[in-house]
Amino acid sequence: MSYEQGARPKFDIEVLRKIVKASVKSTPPPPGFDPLTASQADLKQFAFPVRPDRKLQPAEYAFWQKMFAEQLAFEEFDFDLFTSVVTQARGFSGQSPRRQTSRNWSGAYITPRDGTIFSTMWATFQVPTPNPPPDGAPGDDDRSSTWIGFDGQRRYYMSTLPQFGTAQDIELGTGIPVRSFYAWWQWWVRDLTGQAYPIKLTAPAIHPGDLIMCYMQVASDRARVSFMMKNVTTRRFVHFYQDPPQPDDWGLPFKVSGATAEWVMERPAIPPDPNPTPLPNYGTVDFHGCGATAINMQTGAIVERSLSGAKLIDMYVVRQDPQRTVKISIPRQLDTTEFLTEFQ
Amino acid sequence: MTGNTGNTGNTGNTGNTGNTGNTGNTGNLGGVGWFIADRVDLPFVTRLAPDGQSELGSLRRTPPAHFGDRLWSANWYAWRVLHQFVAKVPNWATTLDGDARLTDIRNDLVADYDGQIDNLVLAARDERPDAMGLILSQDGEFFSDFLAVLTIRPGTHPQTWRVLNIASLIGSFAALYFKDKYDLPRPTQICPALLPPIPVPGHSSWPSGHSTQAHLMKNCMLRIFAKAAMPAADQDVWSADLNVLADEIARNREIAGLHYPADSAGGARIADLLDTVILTPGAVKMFDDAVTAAAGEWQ
Repeated sequence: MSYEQGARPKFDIEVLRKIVKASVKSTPPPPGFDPLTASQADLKQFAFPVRPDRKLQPAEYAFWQKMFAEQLAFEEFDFDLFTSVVTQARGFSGQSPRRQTSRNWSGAYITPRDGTIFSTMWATFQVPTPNPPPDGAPGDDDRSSTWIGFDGQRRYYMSTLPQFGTAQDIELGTGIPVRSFYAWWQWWVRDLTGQAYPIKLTAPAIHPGDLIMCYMQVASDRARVSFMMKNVTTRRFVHFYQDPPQPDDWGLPFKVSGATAEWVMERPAIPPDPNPTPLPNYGTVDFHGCGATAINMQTGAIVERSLSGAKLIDMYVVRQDPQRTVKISIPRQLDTTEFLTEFQ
Repeated sequence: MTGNTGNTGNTGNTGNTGNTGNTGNTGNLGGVGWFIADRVDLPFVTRLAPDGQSELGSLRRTPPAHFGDRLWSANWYAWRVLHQFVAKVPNWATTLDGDARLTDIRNDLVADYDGQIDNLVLAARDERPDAMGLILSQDGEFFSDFLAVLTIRPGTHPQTWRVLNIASLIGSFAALYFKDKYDLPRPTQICPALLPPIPVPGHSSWPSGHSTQAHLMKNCMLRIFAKAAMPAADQDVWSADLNVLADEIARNREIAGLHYPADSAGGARIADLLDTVILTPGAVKMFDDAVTAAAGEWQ
């Protein structure tokens, strides 16, 4: 979930709703529809992404198999917009060491190589339960989000950020803390007001402890992203695709760079305060079954990528007396498809 | 402000022609790289012999007949081998130039500069920050990379060190011949935005000197290992490591925006042809002798 520094942008929520609706397509498939055996034409008709090739993309195909191994309830796509406009801040940039830091992200990311760019990515994780952090205070609104996404890490024009996952928030009132959970997505673009909104999916419902599978696929023209989410615990499923945001002032149309693929635990911000919210004590998130494919746009060749060589991002805060930085969420890689982020 | 009159030019960086070697960093075999102190008030040449009967400067050895092969530093010895290479295989360039695959690599590049540059644009965007350390360190020389992978030093394996220098020089010589003949533009002459982090070398693009040299160094090392009758399984390990190293050295020049992928491929092809078609056993005796001597260090 991405939030941007700066003044709260003014935008008519209903206008935005229409814009988002016009850019998204999701067609409920007929009963008995099986994405594992349906023709590619039928998949396209019902707004599914292209099914990976079993031989050329074995890891991605295996993810599909897990996703559709059982009878699923296909949710009707719908969304809610947040009433408050929130904006993006990417907390780090320009760092190339293996271990990096950020004010709002912790997780892992990989970069493409040898003339390829990322086209799909996926992961499975369990929805964490947010608890008050040790220094939490009444009135705090602690937020966290768990997501996968492409790009968004540097400042060039095409570095937009399509991202997809769940949110886990906790409000520390004077009484019992109030927790909320939901699925969301966002195609963030720096300085583009309308894209400052994370968009809440009305379904599937998300509960603490639910096992979630997320999958994203960039279309061959790089100007569309397909999203699929399965709540493994409840066997509910949602899928849709979205066309890119419209640039301001007749700018160059946005396309997905595919320059990074990231798996992130984030603490967002609530405008007008550009600072990220306190991070709730979310315990541990286990990102597993992580993978991505990259395509050579010249040759069409596809390569599968794992977390091998991934860069790890520590989330930090600045504390006073004495002034110092403190890591509050640290990723720990377990193997080439799995890593943990751990609240500190 | 009267201007910067202190900078009389960057004459020190000869590394832009490829792997010319920083001999000061590779051991006490380069013939340069350190100073010898002497007393001002009592120069060594004036010191008396232990018997007190003569100054050291008055003593003479029997003149040797030659400077001696052993004293030739590896980098200068390589020039001697190059001279013999040119004399013994005068048609080397014609032979290489007639290779159909090498010609295809070049023609494909000329037919589609754009496609090659698309690759470089992605590399500049996505790979350059991570590769920057390698780009900078390998700009001047990459002997060190080979020595590191081989886990040797010039002092421990002087004959191997000599062969690496020979391969580097012959590779550079061959690459520059084709650079001269075809004079193809650098990627930045077509896409200035590639903005390499180091100066674009003052010679044409195709083939890559780094690639030619690195791949020929790799080929020569594998020839040494074969000559040493090293177990096949061990040779496989070295082959894997050195192939990746040579490819990586070439690729880093692409990531820097200095070379097309076809430059790297052309260099690798030239190195393979030099190894298999030109430097065949018996063709250049000094090269053969150097390989044989080096093999003795791996037995």
